[in-house]
Amino acid sequence: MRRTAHWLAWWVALVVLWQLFVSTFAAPEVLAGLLAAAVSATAAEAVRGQNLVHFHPRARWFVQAYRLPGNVVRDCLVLGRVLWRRVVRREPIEGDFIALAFSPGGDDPQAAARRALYVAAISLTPNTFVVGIDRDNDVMLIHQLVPTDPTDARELLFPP
Amino acid sequence: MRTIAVAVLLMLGVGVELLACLGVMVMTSAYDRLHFTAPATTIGPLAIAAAVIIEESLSTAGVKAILIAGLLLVVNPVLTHATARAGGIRTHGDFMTLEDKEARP
Repeated sequence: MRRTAHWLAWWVALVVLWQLFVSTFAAPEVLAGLLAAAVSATAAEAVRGQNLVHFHPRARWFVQAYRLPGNVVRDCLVLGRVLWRRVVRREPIEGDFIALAFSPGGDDPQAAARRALYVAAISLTPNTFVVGIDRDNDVMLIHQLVPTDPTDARELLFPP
Repeated sequence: MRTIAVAVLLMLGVGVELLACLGVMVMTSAYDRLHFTAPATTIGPLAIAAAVIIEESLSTAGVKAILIAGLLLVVNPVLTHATARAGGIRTHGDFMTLEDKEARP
């Protein structure tokens, strides 16, 4: 019963998304949308049914996302300068890998959500993306085009 | 005034997309190139979507522009991380350590 409810939720949401994109109620388009949504909902439910991972993020984490637009704009300017140096001045530019202290937490849903949001938020900023998290050694490996020498992973999202 | 705002936003959006393509072309390693996908999925689409909304308000085109910009914004960091992770695993095994980094080609 619960799986059916999940499948239906996915299907309805995907049909709505399809309709928003195609903007027509022509029969062939609607039929194609119903079928495509059914296939996608089945795939989504098959993955969810395996119970691979659960996410329970805290609402206050999303409140802190107000810093992200500023970080993105700042990093876009950094990339602009890099492009200038590379194209106009013909300077060789090479990014670098940096290992940062990061407390990854355990296997609980809250820790999994925290890791996922850290990876997504850091990788959203143009100058930095996350390559991986070493949970055995409490290390996050990032790649930066212009290294900024952060002391830990948190500093990337909340610069001093 | 509205026409000027739309023109400025479109120039910003298209300009960012072009510069991002240029960045992907001129950088030498795959990791360095990955950085330039971020402006192309954040500033660029948001500027173009804003231009569409100013011109068309929340019409069909406006809603589509918001959806596409939102989709790109959410999906790109995941794809960037997944690509970098796949590259690291392919080159260095399960996890890239600092010693592996030193041996990077």
